[in-house]
Amino acid sequence: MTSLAATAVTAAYGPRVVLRECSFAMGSGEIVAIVGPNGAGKSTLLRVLAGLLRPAAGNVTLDGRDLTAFPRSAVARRIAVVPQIFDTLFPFTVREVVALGRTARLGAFGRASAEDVAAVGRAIGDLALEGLATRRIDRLSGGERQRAVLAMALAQETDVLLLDEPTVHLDPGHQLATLGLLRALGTRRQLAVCAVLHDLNLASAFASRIVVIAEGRLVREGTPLEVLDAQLVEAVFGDGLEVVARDGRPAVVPRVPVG
Amino acid sequence: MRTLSILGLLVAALLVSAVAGILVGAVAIEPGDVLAALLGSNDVNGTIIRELRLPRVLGAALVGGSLATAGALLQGLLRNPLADPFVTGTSAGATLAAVLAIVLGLAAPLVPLASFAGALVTVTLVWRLARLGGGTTVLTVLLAGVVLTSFAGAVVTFLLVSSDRLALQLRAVLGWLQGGVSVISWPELGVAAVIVAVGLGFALVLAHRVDAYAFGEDTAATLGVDPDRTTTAVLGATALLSGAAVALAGLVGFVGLVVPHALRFLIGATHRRLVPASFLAGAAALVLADLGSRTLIAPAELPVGAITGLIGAPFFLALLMRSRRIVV
Amino acid sequence: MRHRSLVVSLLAVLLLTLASCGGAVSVSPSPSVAASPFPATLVDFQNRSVTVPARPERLVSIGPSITAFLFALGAGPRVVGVDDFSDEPAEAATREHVGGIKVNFEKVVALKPDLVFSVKFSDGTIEKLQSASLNVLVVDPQSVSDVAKTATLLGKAVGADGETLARGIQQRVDIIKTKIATTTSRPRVYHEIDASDPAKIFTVGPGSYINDLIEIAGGANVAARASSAYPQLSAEEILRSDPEIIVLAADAYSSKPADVVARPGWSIIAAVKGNRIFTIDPNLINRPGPRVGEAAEAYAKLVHPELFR
Repeated sequence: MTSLAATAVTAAYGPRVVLRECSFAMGSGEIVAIVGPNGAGKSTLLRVLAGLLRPAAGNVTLDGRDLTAFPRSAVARRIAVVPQIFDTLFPFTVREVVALGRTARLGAFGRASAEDVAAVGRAIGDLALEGLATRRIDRLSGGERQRAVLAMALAQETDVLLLDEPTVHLDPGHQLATLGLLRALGTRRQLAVCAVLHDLNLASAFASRIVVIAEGRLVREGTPLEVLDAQLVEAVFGDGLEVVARDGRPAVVPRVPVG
Repeated sequence: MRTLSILGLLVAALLVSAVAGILVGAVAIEPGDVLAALLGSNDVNGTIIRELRLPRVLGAALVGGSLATAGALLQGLLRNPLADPFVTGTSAGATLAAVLAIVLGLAAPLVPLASFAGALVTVTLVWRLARLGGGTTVLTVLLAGVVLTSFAGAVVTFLLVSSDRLALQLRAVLGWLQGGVSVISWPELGVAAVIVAVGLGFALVLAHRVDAYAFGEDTAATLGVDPDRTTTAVLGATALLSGAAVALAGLVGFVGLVVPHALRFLIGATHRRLVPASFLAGAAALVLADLGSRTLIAPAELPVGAITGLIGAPFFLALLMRSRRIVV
Repeated sequence: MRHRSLVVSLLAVLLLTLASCGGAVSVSPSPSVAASPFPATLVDFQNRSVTVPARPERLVSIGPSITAFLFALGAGPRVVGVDDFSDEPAEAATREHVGGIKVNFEKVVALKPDLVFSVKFSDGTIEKLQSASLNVLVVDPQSVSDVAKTATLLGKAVGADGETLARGIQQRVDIIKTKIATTTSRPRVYHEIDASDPAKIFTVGPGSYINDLIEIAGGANVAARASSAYPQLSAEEILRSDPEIIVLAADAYSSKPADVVARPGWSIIAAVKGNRIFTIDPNLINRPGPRVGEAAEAYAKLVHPELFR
């Protein structure tokens, strides 16, 4: 059972404070969605959780130990981040991209062990990429490329998986497929999954918990039902949206315009 | 394994080129005599082969290999297939430093050190500039290269015109600026070989970590690479390699660009294979280019930099045209 | 009426006589009258016909060997302008300077010369000087015998005795040639002009003044069969030709003997092994001037020291 916890995290880029005293924790088997308006600080929170940005105040602990105490390669064996950019001009094959996930575990001169090869194989299998394994990644569609980098993160065989807006360029069908896959993988591999999502309904449908960030502060966290009520939605996202119940989960829809 | 057979092929190509380079020269020498010379014959031919041709061929190999490897590293680090020591202005910075060293009267063995320092400063500048935009774009790297090369060129020209010390060696400096591996003594070659060996060693160790930069520095970090340390080490290796190359042969362009790029499509993009392959292929390429420089307009010599430019520039343009997808 | 026609015919005869006198190009001197060599029509080294109408009193000289000649001919006082490199004799340097590699046309014109002497220029300098209505005589000796011709030409141009000077030069050279003829030994000589770029070493070939000096001095120029006057050689070719004597100019632009010895591979050359690397006064070998006899002697001493103690 892994736990990743942010405690009173304040983060800034130079003089600009982006996050103020955010605290929450997550553990294995959970899928946490971070939602909020643009510029609220969601991506920043994710970067702090990944150890890419040091908090100005507060700390992030992994299984109780401060994240800053881990060297980079040790962090990479526990926390994987699916990159937002997956464009490359170089002709890496899909298998080579997935193999990048093993970087933190390779021996000298980058020699891969049998375990590394097996992990790559498992990740490729989990994302049904066998048919594309030898294809060049710069020749695949956006959706296929995203699966490849997701496999790369999985190949890291970590306990925590972080994603920043993994569905933003996908059509609704692919959005559902990706998130469904994440939920299945999270369960199967007992991962702690945390994703920044811009779509409240996707968050509602797939997340076990939602964290709402607005203007750098953590406004509310809890189950979708606890978090997504009309009052909060209006306060954070403005009026024009209303919350309806559907199959026990809240759905956020635009208000029907008057006239 | 495919890697070994490719590397084996490249080693063979390098050996063939080197042999061709030793067999051909201003003075015609029979192959039998060449062999005798390599084994230590005492006559004029022996001296010509051992003191003039052999160091020259080895020098060309070192320069070509260094530039190609530096190119592969820079392309991986900057995530940009259009980067190389020449295009990014690193070679120009190294050249400027070397010329300054000559003007200030530094002893000859110190010039490669100055060259390395110049390369390091320039490549770091390029890296910083490229990061400013939040990512590396083709435009940024190309512009940085153009600006740095022009600036270095202007300062060198100023020095050439105003320094008495340089005026005495004007033709030599100009020839060196055009890129040439003409006369290298064994001690010079030895020092350069050591520097190249260190740089190449770093490159081989760092190669697989350069792959991690494929999706940006942040991703490299989350994959387990310490971006600061690795970036510094890669920049250092690049500076060692391009500095040594410039100290030996002045401004030789496009080798670092064309060789890794061509190899990538033959053996794939992973740097574990690309780095050693680039060294071997770059070495062979420059040995052949030097051969061309000695034979194409014999008895006069074309500067090697002219040949790499003649072949490399059209290739570079073709690359640019194919790279329509690159966001500029 | 008859008086007037007589006066007219006398006038006509007088005019005709005067006219026929004025048109003469040269007047054969009668023993009791000093010769006036002017006006003189001369052919210069570019095969141009140049007319000097009267004894030139203001001379401009562009070329250090020309300047040396003018002073040797006694025309020094008439020289009003020289180029930056003219320093022989020392007095010459005190005249107005009209430029070095690039000629300062305004200065030349401002000096109002009657005659301008110049070395050959291939960048239009001569034409530009001529277009400024200046009388230009191009002097370009390429061999030792050319130098004797220069003495004669310049003498005629300024109205001095160039013949004596030319004869003196020729005699000195003939003495050397006679001594050289007593031996069949012709040591291989390599004269280095410029090795600042080790990939492009310049030496002297057929048609150059120094090549002539080497021959007169009884040496065999290793580049005697090259295709131009200043050919490029590679280090390989020089090693193969194995010169017995290496000659360098003793100026800042040339290599020093110690540098030559240190070049990779050069230690097997006979000249290096035998320690016969010499330097020579650059003014002697770069200037085909009145000291050419001295130059030939200096060179001969290097090549055949046994004949010239």
